[in-house]
Amino acid sequence: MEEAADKVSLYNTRGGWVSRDMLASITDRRRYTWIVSVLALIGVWQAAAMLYGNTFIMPTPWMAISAFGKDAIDPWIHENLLLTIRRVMTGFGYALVIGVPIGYLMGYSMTARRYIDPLIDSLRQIPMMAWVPLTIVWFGLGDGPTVFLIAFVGVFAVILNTTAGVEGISKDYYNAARSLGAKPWSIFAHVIVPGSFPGILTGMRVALGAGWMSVICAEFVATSAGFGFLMVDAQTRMETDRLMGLMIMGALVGFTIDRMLLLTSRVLARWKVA
Amino acid sequence: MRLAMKNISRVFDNGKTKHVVLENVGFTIGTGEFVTLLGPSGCGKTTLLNIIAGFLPATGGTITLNDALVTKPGPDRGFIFQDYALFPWMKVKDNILYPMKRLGVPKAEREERLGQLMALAQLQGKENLYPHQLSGGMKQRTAVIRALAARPQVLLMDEPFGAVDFQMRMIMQEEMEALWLKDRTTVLMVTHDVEEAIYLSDRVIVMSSDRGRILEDIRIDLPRPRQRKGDAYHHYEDRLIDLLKTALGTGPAEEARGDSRATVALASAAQCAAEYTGCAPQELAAMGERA
Repeated sequence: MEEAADKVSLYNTRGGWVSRDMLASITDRRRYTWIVSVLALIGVWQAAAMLYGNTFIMPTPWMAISAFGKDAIDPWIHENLLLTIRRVMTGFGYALVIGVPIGYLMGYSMTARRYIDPLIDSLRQIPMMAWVPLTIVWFGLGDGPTVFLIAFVGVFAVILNTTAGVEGISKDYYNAARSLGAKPWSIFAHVIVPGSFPGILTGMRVALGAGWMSVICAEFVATSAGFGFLMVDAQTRMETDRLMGLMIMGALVGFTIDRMLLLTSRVLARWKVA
Repeated sequence: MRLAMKNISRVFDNGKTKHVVLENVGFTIGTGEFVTLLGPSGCGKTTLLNIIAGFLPATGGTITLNDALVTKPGPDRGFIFQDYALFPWMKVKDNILYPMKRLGVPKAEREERLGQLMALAQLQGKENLYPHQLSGGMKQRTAVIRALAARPQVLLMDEPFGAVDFQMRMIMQEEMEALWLKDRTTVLMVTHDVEEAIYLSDRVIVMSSDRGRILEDIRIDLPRPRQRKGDAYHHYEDRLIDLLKTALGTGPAEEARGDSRATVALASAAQCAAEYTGCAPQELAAMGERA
């Protein structure tokens, strides 16, 4: 029994599973099927572009990729992209600061939940973009409406996942803590906070993803700078190849943000690895 | 150390029907005893243990520990949960240090006691692992020494070997005995397994599924460390199996008595025997409370 246990611990030490993961990603051929899919997509795209013969409506993949390459080293693009990322992070910060405490409250107290639930449920029904005109009235053009929207989109994801995280903590842990001499503060700091942490991380991932998706939409109308504005700009200049290049860039940034957060949560919630 | 249960009652009321799980249950445990509450599923033994731990209020009666009234959970009564309830977000050593920090044990003393407890449970070198990296037996031992770290007067164990297969169960029982022989903290354990009760206990208290009535209080007079063989061992086994039948209401003694209470027990026992596992509404209610 001891021997088997030692083996388990060997595989599970951090160095162990990281290297095993890396090994698997190199040796596992199935991981490369995505290349085939992407190549097929590009092939269909190229065929469509040739069929149309009109680069304004359908630029070739190569045109979009080379436009992407030019944009990727353009300082003006960087400036606008960073502005948008800064907006996302600010809004995300608000979503966390507001959402996590409300989530704790709702997860822990059924009474609080009964009061807050209807509020959240009714606010959530308003389509996100329907807020844009009102937020322009409130904050004017610029950072205000975009940050508000990102925070607003994110806060629900954070609240719901924090609530679920707190609710998911087994009653045994509370009882164990109390029978080990814990006072209420310790139960909060050592049971509720770490126990709900994986849930909060999920909420963070969803909030950041949704924030990145909605910020561009908000920037189409509510601002004269930022990544979304660049896209509208490309469209009005009839540079369809640049527009597509920017779309690729948007996908890559979103993907990178998500992966970074996934990596962070793997490190921070290491104890969750089964 | 003296843990005394006096006239404990517990009624589960779901609005429509009332289930009397425990009625006037009482017994006393003294220092250094390993006592087992043995009874069929649904006899209310886990409910009683939860009441003693302070997790669940009694409907009536009192529990005193060294003449002090028990009303809520406290470090004087360590609890071993069926699935251990080790904090998965804390390393093994932080799990064990947790009660000592809560009780304000100075740092130097904490570290020393940690070393002693790890040695006691033969877990040296596992300090920095997380619970999910431990085997079942190691989790079990960690749970025991975490409870011991608070220096409890009595350890309460809720079917601590319930979640594992037969082979593992025997190994863990042996480990448990070895650990207990070194520490000798008073233990009150709940189980439905006759063999386990005999193997580990100095005293077995048999509870009936009829309102938790205590049928027998048997002293197990066998040398330690225990052997799972010999006439005396099997004699105890036979006797307790017969008693368990009575506890379910299917034994000869209960039928012969023929009073109204036995009839009630028989009615519920028939239902119980038909669908043996967890059929009794009391146990379901108790499980609901715990979940």
